[in-house]
Amino acid sequence: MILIVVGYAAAIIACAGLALLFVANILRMSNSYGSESEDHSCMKRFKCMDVDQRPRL
Amino acid sequence: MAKSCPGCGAPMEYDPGFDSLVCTSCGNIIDPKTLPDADSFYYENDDADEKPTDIADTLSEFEELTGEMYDRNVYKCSQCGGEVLVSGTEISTRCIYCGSTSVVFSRISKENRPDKIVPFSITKEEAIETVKKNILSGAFMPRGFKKIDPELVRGIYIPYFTYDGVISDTQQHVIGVTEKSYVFDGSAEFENLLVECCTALDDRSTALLEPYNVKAAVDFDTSYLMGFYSNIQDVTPRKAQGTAELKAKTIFNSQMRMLSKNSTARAVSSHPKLELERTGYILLPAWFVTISTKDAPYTFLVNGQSGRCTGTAPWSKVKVFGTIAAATAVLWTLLFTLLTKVAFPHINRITDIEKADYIIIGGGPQIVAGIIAVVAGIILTIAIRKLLRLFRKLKRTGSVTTLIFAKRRQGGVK
Repeated sequence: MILIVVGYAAAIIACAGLALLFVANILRMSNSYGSESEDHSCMKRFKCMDVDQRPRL
Repeated sequence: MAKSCPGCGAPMEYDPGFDSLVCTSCGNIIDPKTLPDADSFYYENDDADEKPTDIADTLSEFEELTGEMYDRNVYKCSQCGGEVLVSGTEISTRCIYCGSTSVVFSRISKENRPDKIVPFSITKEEAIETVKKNILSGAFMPRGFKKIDPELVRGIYIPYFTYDGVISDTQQHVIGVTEKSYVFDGSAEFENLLVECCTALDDRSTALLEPYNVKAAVDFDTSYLMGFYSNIQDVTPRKAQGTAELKAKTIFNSQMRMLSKNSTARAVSSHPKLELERTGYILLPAWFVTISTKDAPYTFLVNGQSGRCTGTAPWSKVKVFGTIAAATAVLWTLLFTLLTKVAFPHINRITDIEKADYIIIGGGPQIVAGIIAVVAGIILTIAIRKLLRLFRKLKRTGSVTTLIFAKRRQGGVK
């Protein structure tokens, strides 16, 4: 019996969590604008090599 | 001192739409580059009527009453003679009496004069339209928020330093639980790395305005300040250098992390060598659009060159909780139907609670309940983290620091 109650409670919490996630995603996409820019154009001539001397770029 | 129209003598303002100075009275349009360079007179004559009035004596009574210190100076408007209050780092502001722009030349002396400026390309109307289109069209808005007109829209030039330099580093990256490691040797150069240098402004807010195309900057001319507000830099060279180095390392490390091609990779050792040198002092444009609600004012920023908009609009608690409750009810109905009709149909046949024990022996409901509980925990954690991130962004938009920076200026211009 307790297991059934726990199961139901967990199911309700899962549904509430999904609803919360759904609303949070809508708010993030529609109400929030602008994020940290990924533009790193100020960095030039980036070069990298691993220890085996295989160039990565 | 304001730039006057050669035709009618009225003050002129820089208009981003025309990329020229426009007379506020007769509409005369003049390229600022063709105007005679009157600025040099003020740089070379320190005794021009730019000295502030000493208001310490008149304020002594206020200090006794309020215990506050004022950090403003009083200047005389060159157009109407009215008294203009200018705070410690402003270099251009508007006269509250005649509305003309006043430039404080004594604050942009040869030593402290910006090298370059990026003029406004986005007009005030375009900035307001961008905010309305991108942010005010959001979901779950409080009633009436979408119809609000911005109460305060100010174009402000923000001071930045630019840095050039080189960085090199040898990093050891370890991949997740396998502990497989790679060693990378990387190097890069920096050109025009931007560092905001105004202590009155929140760095996290201005970071969202970037990127700016610094190559489009022109030589500094006070003509471009006409019609806008601006500040000079007021951070110590050491602090600015520290901020630049931190920013350079962050950009470099993010690029190095991508080389592992694995999101679980982390650097366990790093020995960077960084040399950065300050190469310039530049003013960059931004529009500050403030919308007041009964709860709090919110200030949205618009990049004055590219039109990039940043900010988070508030939401109605009633609408959000109502939607969550409705969605929960729908999902629960679907899940309940799935479990009772499809997965465990025999549950419906239980009429005596004591007989319920027989279904537990099967083990199915235990497993399902366990899975649901784990999934519920994961989903709730993800949802709460997303919401907390949103709350932080909303707090930044409603930041009092940004509001004071935009609002604490002369002139009630819209």
